[in-house]
Amino acid sequence: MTIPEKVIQVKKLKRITYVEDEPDIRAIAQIALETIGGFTLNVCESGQEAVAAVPAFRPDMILLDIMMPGMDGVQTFHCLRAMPDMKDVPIVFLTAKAQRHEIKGYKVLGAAAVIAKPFDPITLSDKVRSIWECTQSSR
Amino acid sequence: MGTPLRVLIIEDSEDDTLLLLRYLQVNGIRPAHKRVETYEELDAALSATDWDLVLCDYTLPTLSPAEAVRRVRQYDEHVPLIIVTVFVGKPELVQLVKLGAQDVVLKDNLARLKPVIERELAEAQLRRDKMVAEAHLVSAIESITEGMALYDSDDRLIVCNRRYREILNKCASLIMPSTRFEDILRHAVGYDQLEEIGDDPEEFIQRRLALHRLPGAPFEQKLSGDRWVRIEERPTADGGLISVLTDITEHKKLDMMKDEFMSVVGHELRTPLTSIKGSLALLESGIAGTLTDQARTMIHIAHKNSDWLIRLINDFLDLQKIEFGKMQFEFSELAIEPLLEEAVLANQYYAEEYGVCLRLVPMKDTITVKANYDRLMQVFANLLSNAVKFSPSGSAVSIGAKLNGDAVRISITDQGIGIPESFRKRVFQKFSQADASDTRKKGGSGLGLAISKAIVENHDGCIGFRSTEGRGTTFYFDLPAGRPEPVEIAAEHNIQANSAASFES
Repeated sequence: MTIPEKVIQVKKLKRITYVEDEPDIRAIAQIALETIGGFTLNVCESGQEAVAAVPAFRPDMILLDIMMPGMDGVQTFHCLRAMPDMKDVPIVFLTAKAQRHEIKGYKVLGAAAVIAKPFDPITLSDKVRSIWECTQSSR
Repeated sequence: MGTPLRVLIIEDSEDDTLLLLRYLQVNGIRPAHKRVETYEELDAALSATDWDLVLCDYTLPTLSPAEAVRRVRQYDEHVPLIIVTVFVGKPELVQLVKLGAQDVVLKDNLARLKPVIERELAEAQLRRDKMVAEAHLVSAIESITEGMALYDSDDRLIVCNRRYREILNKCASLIMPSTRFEDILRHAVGYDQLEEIGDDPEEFIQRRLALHRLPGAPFEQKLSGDRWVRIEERPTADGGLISVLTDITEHKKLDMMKDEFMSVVGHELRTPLTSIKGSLALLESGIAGTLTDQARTMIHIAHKNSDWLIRLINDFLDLQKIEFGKMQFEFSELAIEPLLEEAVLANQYYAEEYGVCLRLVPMKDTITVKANYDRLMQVFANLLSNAVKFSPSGSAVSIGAKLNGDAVRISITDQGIGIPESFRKRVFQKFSQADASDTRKKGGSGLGLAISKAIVENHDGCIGFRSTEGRGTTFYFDLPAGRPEPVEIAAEHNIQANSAASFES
């Protein structure tokens, strides 16, 4: 009798909420993630917008800029984490404030990863996907 | 003859006074005297002028000798006061000395008076000199801007200045001579004068006490009210300790502003660059439509230069941080051979672009160093990319390590063009390139070697090079070695190309 191999079903990354106040960077990341990565994107201009949008959009992952006017990335992070459906959704910071000790601080906060700006739009999707796989395999 | 000696004589008998004066004159002392016999006269004389000598009779009908001595001492604590009497009992004598009389001379042994006067005049002068010297010292200590305290070998406070009490304001009531340092410290901890002392106050106290008994390098301490002091302690010759507190609050604030400024500059520069680099990368990839060859060349140039600008900004901010001592280095014991292997792999792709082969020189021993992994890799990357850039296509760059006394020497050798004699002195300077056009041609920031030097020096190491023009260059740096373990000799091997794309974050 052969024992059927256990199929490990890793959920695929499809839906991403992307929060960035800078319109130019938003446009570039949107092309990188939609056209190159093939993800379904929900683009938000502010933390407030993201908090309002995620319950309906139900993202698999959230990419979050840190330096934003109004609610900054860290505040947005706490707000999102406090939402019942969002507590397990991986959140990745994208930041130009990526000094070593700053990165460490974000990780301690509970971020899945930190992507430093300037990022390479060509490899951004691959990078996001590999972060996703890491978070899935560690479950 | 010198100035007359001002002698105050407390005596009811005019005859005895004359006798005393005669005695003084005979013995070469020229007195300018005043005789008093009541409290009123005594007080008037004491407040009228300073006296060099007070002679006091013991059996006076109008005043008690004890009270007379007390009043004299009230006015002047140093003037020699000698009781001259026919008779005095031992208990009375003891009481008078306690009150401040220097000596007692019996009238029937007046010959003793001269030496006693001479001795007491000299001692009074010594006391006055000492007081002046102490006053100078105290005024000097008070006038320095640092807080200063002197503790004795029992760790008890001898003296401190006002600034010391101001800095430790919550302990001011306790800071007085003979208070133990430990009591002041415990008070300071208990009343939250000291901040950022960790979770265990007792452990902090013990650590601080140990440091106080065996002072070392100066250290910084945060105080309540967002203040910072640098504490410098030194042992004194007699087993005591001098403690100097310098207020460095402003310095700390400036430091924090500088940090913030650098972080903001980094962010403000990187934000537009993210858009520029991103747009160019997308254009170059053809995602936004096919480009003509000429357009692709132009886009490629712009893209390459935006990368260069980013590297320049990162290097510049790195160097600033290292130079200001802001870069945190966490050291661990690292085996050197796997490190070198990793460094070769990480830079292989870059070397291939130049047609250069990276070669790892096999090592006899397992050598370890105490170093920061990330920073050491940064040094390897700087030195290897430099070596590759200046190597002819088809040549090899080798990297190896060996023990050199107590240090590990890591060497990176190329077969390149060598460093011109005229440039050798400036190799480690910021923004230096042998040929001004090198920066553009070779795509470096001109900061790589300055950063490497700063990092190596932060590891208590040193960096240098040997170069022969046309033959090649060896850059080497020494790091303090860990404990070596002998292992088998491995064969020399070339690491094959690794074309895996690496993330840039």
